[in-house]
Amino acid sequence: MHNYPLTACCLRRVASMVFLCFATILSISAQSSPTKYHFKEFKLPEINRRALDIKPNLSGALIRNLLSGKDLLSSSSKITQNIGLQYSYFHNSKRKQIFHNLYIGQSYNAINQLSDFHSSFNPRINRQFGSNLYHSAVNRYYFTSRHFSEINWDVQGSFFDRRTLTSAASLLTQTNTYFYSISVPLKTGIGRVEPVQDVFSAAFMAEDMLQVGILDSPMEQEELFELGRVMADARNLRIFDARKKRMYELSQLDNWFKDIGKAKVDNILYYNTMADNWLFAFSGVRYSGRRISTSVTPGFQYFGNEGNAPNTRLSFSGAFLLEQFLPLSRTWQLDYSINVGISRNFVSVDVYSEYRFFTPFMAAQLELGCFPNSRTSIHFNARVAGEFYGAYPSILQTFASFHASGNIFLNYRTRLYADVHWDYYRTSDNAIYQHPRAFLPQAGLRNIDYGANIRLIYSLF
Amino acid sequence: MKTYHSHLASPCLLLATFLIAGLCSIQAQIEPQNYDYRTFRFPEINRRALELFPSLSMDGTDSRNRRFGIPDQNSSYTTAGLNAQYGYFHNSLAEQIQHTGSLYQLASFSRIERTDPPSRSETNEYEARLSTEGINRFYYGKRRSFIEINWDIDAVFTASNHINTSLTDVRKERFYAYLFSVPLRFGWGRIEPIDDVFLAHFMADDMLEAGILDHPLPQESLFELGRVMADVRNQRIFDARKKRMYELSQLDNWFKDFGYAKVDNILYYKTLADNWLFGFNNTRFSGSRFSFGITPQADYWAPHQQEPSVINMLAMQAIYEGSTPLNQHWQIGYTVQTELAFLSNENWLNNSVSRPGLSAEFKWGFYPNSRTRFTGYMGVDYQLFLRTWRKILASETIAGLQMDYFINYRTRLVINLAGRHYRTPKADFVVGHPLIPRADAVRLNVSGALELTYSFF
Repeated sequence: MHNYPLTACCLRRVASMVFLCFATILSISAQSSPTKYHFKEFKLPEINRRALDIKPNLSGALIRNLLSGKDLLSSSSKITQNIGLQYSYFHNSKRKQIFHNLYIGQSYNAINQLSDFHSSFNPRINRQFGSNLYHSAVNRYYFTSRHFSEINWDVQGSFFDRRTLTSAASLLTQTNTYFYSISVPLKTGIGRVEPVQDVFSAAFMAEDMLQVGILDSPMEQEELFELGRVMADARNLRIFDARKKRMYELSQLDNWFKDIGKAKVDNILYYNTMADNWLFAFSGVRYSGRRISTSVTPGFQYFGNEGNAPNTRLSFSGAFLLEQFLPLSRTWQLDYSINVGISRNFVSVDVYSEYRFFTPFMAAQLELGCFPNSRTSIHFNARVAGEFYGAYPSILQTFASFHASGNIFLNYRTRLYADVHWDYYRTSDNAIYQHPRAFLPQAGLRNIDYGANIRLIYSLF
Repeated sequence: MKTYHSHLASPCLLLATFLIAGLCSIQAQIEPQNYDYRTFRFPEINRRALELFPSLSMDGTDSRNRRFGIPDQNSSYTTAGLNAQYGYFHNSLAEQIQHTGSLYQLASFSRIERTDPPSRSETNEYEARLSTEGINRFYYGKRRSFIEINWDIDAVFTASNHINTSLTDVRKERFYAYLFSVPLRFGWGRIEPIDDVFLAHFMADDMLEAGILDHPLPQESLFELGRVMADVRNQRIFDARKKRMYELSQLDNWFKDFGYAKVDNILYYKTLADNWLFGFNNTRFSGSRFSFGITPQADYWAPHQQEPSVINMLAMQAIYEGSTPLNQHWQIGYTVQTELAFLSNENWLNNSVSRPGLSAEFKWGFYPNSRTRFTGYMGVDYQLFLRTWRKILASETIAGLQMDYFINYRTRLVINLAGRHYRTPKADFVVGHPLIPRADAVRLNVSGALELTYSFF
């Protein structure tokens, strides 16, 4: 009885959101002009790109204030060192779609603060050593043109050692924290999703060239798609220096325009239009295609700090995922996804308490993008999600959100930036979980965050 | 006196060694000069810009915790701002004028409501900052004499009201601060910004290397290209993309009119665009200037419910500053300033402090290509605070080095080093007057950073 008004209120909000989504889709469908190009048919070329960079940093500072020559007033020194190794790999072909990311980082900070300004102040020396690792991989293998299997993994690990010492270097406090997480989603499914933003860059560039008279007629679909593939190829080639890379990319585009022979090349207007679109136009990420998959994911998480029993979570989950990316036209993009599944969890909160429970979960997301020109982008995103923790007594966790943002070019003197967000979070009432436990949400919470921002830039002269 | 001499000696010796070593090193590396950059003249420029930035923002949270005795909370935070920015730059034979101004305003309203026990608190705040700086240098006569009427104005006002309904308490806070300074100067000499002629030089070098030009540009052509660059850079065009297209078109027109470049091919365009859009934009000047004058200044500071602090100053100054491009790659600059200032605090009327001072700074820059730069500086500043029987000499030495080093296409190195040493000698007092610094104090600040990027593949 107590929860009834709240549940009704939630239902009303969800119904409003669903209505809003349908109304938006209908409105877009009504406004979509007959598409001249079938962007859904665009296929990314074969791409194979690897990069490995290392970035070491070292910085330090020393501040000393002395009074009466030798008597120390205050002194502080700081030294920071870190090193980061970053690796990425992207492969796209008819048979494979592979994305790998790896980051290995290590850092060391030492801060010494000595002062006798105040007799109550104790000199402190703080030391912190940290290292972290993150590796994610998607390996999608197509055994027919539509059917695929995936062996993915997501590995994270971090270790921190924090120490406080006295000015005589005696240890006052020490804290060590560890976090490890590994999950290995295994998927199988049907369908294919391709990144297609390059074909839209090509469309905007071709439109600008048509407008200034470099092209006499609109490009044929195959020509536009070929330009999109040349762009994707050039963008994905690894060239170490950014300036050299840009020069190479522009040469590739120029070669292509010369080869097709339709553009009035070799004049500053042509080069300006090409370079402006390539270097300074918005290039939002857009996809095309549908993918339906089922997955099984074993996962393990470990969190520990010295002096306390570690918390662990072992889980096995099964899920169904539908992802649809629809470039409705050059201007409109509609994406949605639905994820439904269940996981079996074994949570150890301390050495004496272990919880075993099922967690059914679902998430649905709808995203609408509007790109009227290469200077404006508007996004709308709606998401609902729920997880039911079947431990005794159970907890239902629900999320709903609506986000909209726009970067709008009104005219050459005026630009408008606006965003709106509304986030809803709720966990069901439960007397047992008075405090949040590791890997379990706190019960009896209801939180709504909302906000809006609007900024205008206007040049008077 | 002996103490003051020993304080002066060590930074002066350091500065002298640094100057001699720097000049010897530069002289050793100077190539035979092809161009006399000192004869480059910046074109007549007249540029104004005024932009408005209105904004409105609102955030809110409604949170309920139904169990644990933690009160429910409903809060919101709304801000509204109106900022404006103004800039004016004018350069001609008769005038060098630079004005900047900014206005920042923000009004915010926050509200928090809690249950158990019921309470509601509101905070309304308003903040306004106005800052404007003007340099107005008017030239007359044949000796390139000038008169300068400048200003530097900063004003801050903040107001806040805190209302707590459960305590029926209203608290109001106000804060004011103003700084008003009007330096008036006379002098002779002229310093011109000449960055663009070096950008033109690096661009011409790249074109020569790529075979777009068959031979180096003659001096007059290079200077003309530099003037075209300065002209287009200072043209006001509202949209950044349109502006870049206009700039590249103007440079292209110049190369076409020039007639010796192999234009209308992608190699030419790439070299043009790469240098214009992505080459380092270094700040380089040429010329020297001597000026003397007076600076009246008032500084007012009034924190909430505290006695306002007022410091009035009248300073007489003589400044000699210069900047010399030794060649395409090397640049040096120097400033020597001497000052006699009289300071008084409103609460210490008839207790003014006089402050003679001498400062010098030397700067150098090395620009081997449009991807690398090394710059450094070193300076000393001595200020003698005098008031009846109390006197104290405050000395400060600063030095710094910045390096942005393109080693090769896989490797880049960035180094920043900075140091500052401040010292006052022993005296028969520690704190003698609010306008006199503390005696027998040493402050040392040293900082450094090193960053390397290396790409394996």
